[in-house]
Amino acid sequence: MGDSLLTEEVKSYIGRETGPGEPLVIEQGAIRKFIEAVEDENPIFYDAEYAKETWYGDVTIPPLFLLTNMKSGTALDFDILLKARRTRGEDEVEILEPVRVGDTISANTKIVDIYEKKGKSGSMMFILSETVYKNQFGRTVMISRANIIKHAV
Amino acid sequence: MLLSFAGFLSQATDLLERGGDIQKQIFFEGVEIGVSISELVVGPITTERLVRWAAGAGDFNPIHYDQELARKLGLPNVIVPGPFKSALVCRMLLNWAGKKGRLKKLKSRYMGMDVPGDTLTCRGRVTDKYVDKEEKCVECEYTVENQRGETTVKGMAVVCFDS
Repeated sequence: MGDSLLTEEVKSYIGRETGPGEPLVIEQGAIRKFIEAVEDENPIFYDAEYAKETWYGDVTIPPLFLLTNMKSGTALDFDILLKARRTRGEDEVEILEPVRVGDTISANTKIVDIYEKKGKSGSMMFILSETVYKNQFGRTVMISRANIIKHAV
Repeated sequence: MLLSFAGFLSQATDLLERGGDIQKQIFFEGVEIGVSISELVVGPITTERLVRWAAGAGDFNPIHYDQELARKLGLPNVIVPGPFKSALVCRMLLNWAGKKGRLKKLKSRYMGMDVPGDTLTCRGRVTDKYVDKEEKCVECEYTVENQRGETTVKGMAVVCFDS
């Protein structure tokens, strides 16, 4: 059905790191666009008075906000397989400290593993990565782990 | 202002929405293992919603908005992004947790495809509760199911409550 996708070049990405990427300043306008897409009216995402009385302490980002909003420092910095269709297989987010409007966040990502499976529709490559997000004080605020799937086309 | 916009959007696009409001405050002491989390129903999902997601989440993978490309790549339609579904689950969990709660962890396994026109039901159940480094934590498992009865996301979450 074709050669393995796990060439030496692909395997050389395992263990590689990228970042810190372009920092992202957390802005209310960007949060608004996100919550409008999921129609989430939770006041922690726009009401400072309300948010002050929560764990977050101030207006905060939705938990998934950073996953795809970082422009660099993520697994997508690596172009591991060209001519492939990309989907997410698994996501994990771990929130350590609140992220608030006005914070500046930057991301570092490590490719943890790459493996292959042959399915009905052809070969699939699985890229496991771990991303650490730090704020302007150098504190780790969030960690995300992803399993990104590439279907060769 | 945001609330009325969201209300207008709901009416204008005739969405089936249930459980979108923050629930009456629950407390760690009162949470029982096995109890259900108030479910969230969202849909029918429109391509407009997916475009808003692309802009709001910064995810411009064309399989989520470019019909012609999606079909060329062997997909039946543009597909609903996994993180979008995870974000709906977060909405359900934070509504349930209320003002005194916070989300500590979320894990999602994307098992199936959903497409525009689908209606998704998010359901959760408490599976454990414990104290971790002075934080009172409740562990849940959840599913997201479409109107065809297919479970397209499975996962777990940890919600913590202050004292």
